[in-house]
Amino acid sequence: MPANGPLAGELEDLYRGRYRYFLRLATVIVGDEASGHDAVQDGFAQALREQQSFRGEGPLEAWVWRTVVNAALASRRRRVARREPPEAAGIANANGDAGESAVRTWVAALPERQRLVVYLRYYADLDYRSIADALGIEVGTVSATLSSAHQALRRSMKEVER
Amino acid sequence: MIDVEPLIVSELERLLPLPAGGRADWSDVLRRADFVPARRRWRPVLVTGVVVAALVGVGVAIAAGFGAFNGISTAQRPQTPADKIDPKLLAEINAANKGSGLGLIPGSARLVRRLPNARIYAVATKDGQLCVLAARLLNNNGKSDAAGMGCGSPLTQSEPSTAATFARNQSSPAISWGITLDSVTAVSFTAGGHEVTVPVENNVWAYEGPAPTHGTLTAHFKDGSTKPIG
Repeated sequence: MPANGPLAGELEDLYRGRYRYFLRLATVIVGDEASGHDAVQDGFAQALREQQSFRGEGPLEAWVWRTVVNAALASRRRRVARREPPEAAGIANANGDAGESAVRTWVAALPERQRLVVYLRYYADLDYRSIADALGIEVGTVSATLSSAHQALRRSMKEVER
Repeated sequence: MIDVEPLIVSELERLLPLPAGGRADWSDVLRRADFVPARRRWRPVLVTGVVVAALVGVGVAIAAGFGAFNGISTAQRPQTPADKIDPKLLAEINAANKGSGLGLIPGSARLVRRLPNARIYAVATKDGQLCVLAARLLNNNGKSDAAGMGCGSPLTQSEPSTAATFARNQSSPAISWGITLDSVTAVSFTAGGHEVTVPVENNVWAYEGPAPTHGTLTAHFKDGSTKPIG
């Protein structure tokens, strides 16, 4: 076995190829980029340490997303404990734009798990199966969440058109 | 039916564009995972007929392939004919260190700097150590046939430079040199009672003059910070 374990090479490739996507998702959860970076680093470090527990039942990437999302959520919990709340609704507006779009309003109103589904779908570009693996939920839940989101947005847009 | 997915994608993109990847640092992941080997102090390695006056430094990275060169961009390239160590010198090093398990990988050798009186090579070992070899040093016989080498754990942010000094005799000025991480722009130390600052070029610093006083080496980083190394 290589010094760093059987999956070390794949994990390194994934990190180098997708770091920016992991960073964006962790940032949107934690609320700032520096803490998001820490969460990505910690998530990948945990994946390296626990690679033997990856059973190959789904994509490796989805398994890593799960460790990174958990690291980001843990980081946010620590911030709250220190009375350093993350950005409202867990989303940082990088442009400093105060305008509320229908999408943004809808995202802010979602329960946390559903918000994570949206982020993993549109920020990480994961398919439904990988999102389900990453969050430990059923594929049907992923599908239903995104379907509801689309319907809600369509309704909002029709109301604006009137 | 309105296809709202492109709208969601563009709106989320507007809210938080894909960040730059400048922070990415795989060696930091390895450290956090505790996948760095126990620190091995930099130690001189025997080279026939050569005295290496002092060797200090350095830290750690990971022992896979040429991971010994992590953070040393100058050494991260394919080997060229100029990088190859003289087979005779290589045989001498191996013979002098027989039984020590040194495990030099000849194919990993990279010539990182040509100095007027030395050639500096980075070489990896089979167990992931970083070795720094100085060859073609001016010997007491007037020929450039001396060599010195030190090996230790690869570089880290906390120990970002190697340091070695060679003097052919007590009346000659010493040559001191070291390999650094990309983030190091200069090193400073006390030599002959004076503070000396030496710039880093292509991951290597070199200084000819009094030998650095032991324990005074400091690395200077791109961001303006400094780190005492020892």
